Amino acid sequence: MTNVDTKTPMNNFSLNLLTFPVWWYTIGLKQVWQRAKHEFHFGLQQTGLLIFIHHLREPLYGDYTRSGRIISLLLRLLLLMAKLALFLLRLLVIAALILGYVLILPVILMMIILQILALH
Amino acid sequence: MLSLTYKNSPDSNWPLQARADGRILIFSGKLDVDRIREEKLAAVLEVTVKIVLWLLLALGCVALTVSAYNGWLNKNPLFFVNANPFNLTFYVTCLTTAYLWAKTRQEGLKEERLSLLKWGQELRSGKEAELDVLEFFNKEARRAWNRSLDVANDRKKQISAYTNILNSKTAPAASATDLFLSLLEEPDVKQAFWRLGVDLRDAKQVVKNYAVLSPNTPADELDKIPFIAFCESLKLRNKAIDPLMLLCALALSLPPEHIISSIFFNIDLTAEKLEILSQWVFDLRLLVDEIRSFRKLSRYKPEKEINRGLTSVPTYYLDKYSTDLTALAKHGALPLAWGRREDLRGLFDLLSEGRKNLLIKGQEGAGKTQLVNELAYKMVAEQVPAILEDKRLVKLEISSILGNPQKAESVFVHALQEAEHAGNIILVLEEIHELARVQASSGLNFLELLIDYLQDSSLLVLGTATLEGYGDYLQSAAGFQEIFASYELLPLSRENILLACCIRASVLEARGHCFFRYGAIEKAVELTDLYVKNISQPQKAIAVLVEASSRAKNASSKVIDENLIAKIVSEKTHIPTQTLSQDETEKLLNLEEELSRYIVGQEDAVQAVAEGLRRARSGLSSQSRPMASFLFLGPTGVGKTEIARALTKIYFQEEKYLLRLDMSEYRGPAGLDKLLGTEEGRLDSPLVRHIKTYPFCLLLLDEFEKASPEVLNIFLQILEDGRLTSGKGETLDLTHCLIIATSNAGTLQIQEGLKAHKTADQIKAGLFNGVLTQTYPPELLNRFDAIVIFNPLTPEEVEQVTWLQLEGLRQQLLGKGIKIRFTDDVVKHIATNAFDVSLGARPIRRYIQDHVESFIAKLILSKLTKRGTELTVGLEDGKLVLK
Repeated sequence: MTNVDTKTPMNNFSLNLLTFPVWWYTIGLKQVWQRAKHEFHFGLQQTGLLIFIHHLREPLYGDYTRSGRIISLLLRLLLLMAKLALFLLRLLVIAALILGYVLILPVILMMIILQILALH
Repeated sequence: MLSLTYKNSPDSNWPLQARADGRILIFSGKLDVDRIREEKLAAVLEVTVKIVLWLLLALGCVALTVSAYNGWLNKNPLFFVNANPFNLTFYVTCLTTAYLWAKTRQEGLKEERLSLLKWGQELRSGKEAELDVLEFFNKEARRAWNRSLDVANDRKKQISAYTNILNSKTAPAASATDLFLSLLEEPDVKQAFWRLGVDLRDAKQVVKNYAVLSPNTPADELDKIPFIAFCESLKLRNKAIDPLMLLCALALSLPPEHIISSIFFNIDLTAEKLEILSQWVFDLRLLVDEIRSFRKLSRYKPEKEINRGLTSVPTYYLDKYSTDLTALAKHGALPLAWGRREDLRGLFDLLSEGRKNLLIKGQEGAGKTQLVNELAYKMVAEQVPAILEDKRLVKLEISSILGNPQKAESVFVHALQEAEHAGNIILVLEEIHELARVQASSGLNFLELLIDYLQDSSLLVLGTATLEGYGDYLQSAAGFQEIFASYELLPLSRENILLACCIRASVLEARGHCFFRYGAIEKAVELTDLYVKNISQPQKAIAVLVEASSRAKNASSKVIDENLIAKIVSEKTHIPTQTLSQDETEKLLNLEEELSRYIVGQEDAVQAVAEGLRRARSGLSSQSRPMASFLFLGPTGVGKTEIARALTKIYFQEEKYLLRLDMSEYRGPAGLDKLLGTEEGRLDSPLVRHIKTYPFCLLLLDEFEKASPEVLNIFLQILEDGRLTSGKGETLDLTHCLIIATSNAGTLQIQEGLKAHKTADQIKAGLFNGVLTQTYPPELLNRFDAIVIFNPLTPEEVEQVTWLQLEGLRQQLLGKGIKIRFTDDVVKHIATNAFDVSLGARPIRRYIQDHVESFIAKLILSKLTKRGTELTVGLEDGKLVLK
């Protein structure tokens, strides 16, 4: 815990400004990772994927007849594929966002440097 | 509560530091001008930086737009890599935006990290050696804390103005009064005082005057306040230290002689009350957070009967006789439960142990239904053990099934089968013990049918039962214990009852646009505790609050205070629950005088009754016994029964509050059944009916000695515990009854004692050693508040009684417009002729009826009198004549 008495408002501000890239790739990245995990679980809940896989071999709507079982299996496989596709799409977006987070600072810095060099 | 040990701080910031739960607490919030200025500067700089960053962000957006526009004009899709000032501006602002986002997240994380809710997990075992309590102050608390220095400055200026001494070099030390005045500016504190019905202007003025007139306050008044506020926040599960916690700390730490303690005492504000008020605010915030989270989580719960796994089967038949609690919970249509989180965890533990069916048992109104509702909410959010996931909570409406007795059995079994077949239903059976009382056509009762069905079924049933129902029917039911795991719902503590009522009051406030004073909620709990039996808290108090809010809807004042609550309880129970009015106070204080207008020559009895009633209404008598109980002994016709009648007239005001039982009717073996009623009897006995309707009443037991010994034994229980169990097994509350038993037992001994000029105590002692203990069990006699001996009437007293009786007749005739007066010789004549030593004054009434009333009736019928006539009745030759 920091002691308020030891720091002035200005060094508090500058310290943050200088140390923020460190924060970005340590605590910030950990936060983003945790958020991604949360989104992953939320995606599972949203699509009901785990529940669906759990009941994969069970017939739809309690229809235990032979034909019912066959139709159920086919329908369940179709639905599973659709749900998986949706879930994978979500995963891709999450992965892209994490990658974006990791790359954005160097990219911005690089672009700034390039812009400055080109303008001079 | 966390215990604190203090020691002097080596740091100059604050004189004390504290040790709590293995951690050292320091405080860096010294009340000096430099620190506060620095803090304010930091806050201003912080805001300025944020504004600049937001402006830069806006600038970046503009630069990007311009660059994109140029790219579009030049047909260059890679416009963002071109070197130009717009792109450079955009990338610089990207960097500042990243910083802005990081800074905002950092602050959010710091707030989360410093949440006192984490004390049990991270904070207690954190790496830092010291925790700075100031960092746990929220924005409002920090503002109020710092402002107390401004208040101290103002105070100093005022003192200087009075004393003409201006010593600007001395920095003012903020005191408890300064902090208190500063806290009074905070909205949460203002709201708390509003809830208490306190006018803040008065409190402020008193404290301000005191602070100016008594400037020499101890320098260490505030030293412990931050640490106590820290502990209070932990105790009340608050995220941070807020102004209310600082107020609590003041209430807890200041000595009783301090001006703020005196103000708290005068407005009846204790630290406990303040804690409940604060917790009300915090719990409401938590509840709002929970509702927000619930809305998010409940989005994916299916509304219809098909579960997410698509395995369930529609339940067309069951739907007719059931209510889907999860569907109602999804729409927020079930009443919110509060204070039963631990019990819900207990239920989940039982389910995790693998016990299939569950029974929640508890007193009526303890919150069984609310616990089921809470479970429904948790099931919607899927915050439940795996066995309850993707399931519906469906309540079977037993009453609608039993509505058709011919088909009830088949409907019941069919509903169970369908619920089992559906595969995703947890069936709720409320008051499950009631099933044992209904016989099915197969010869089994419905409980046996259920047990039989559940033996080999995969259906999960959640039942509720009262403790009596459990004891009477379920505990002994064959097979029940094997298939049901029981969970006992214990009554809530007083604090939790109050909080549950406060939370419900907030919901009612939102719905009914009314406002509850805290005193009203406290009163509802207090009065229902006293006067409403057989139902548990908080249900009975909440019922009163609901009634109050619906009344407030149509009233001009939307503020619900103690008086409205007392009025509602009074109307529902027929018990005067309101604070003693001036009228009633006067009546009680002058009761002897009032009674003397009706009763002649029985000063001891009048005094005993008046004192007993005063004790009861001032709240000094025992709350678990009848209001007062007297045994009147003495010969016939001396005023024993009359005193009860007079009391009804004067105090209870209406005859309906008097129940007179002639105890000679309750003799013999059937006496007890006649008094209490029987289980088979459809109608209640007069005593039971009266106590149910008018629990606040006068119970007159005439000729008490003639009741059977069994009946006398029942009165042992009534006089000791103030309750009675009727023949149907209902418990009746007689703690608001005034009981007067009259008896002629020992009349001879009383008369002999009086002839021998013995004192009342000597006569009483003689009676106790003889006839009384032979007539009544000694323990019964000891349970009466007073045993009063009525004296036989002297000739002068008989004349007074005659006067009173004739006065009654005079008043009656006055109503017909006839003014009548009786001469003294008429009164003497009646007293002499009507009085009978063995019957006392009783024949006077009959004599007046036979002679005086008949005489006047003849006059009226012979048209000798008309409205406005003034008559004087005198005596001539022993006969009544008109004068």
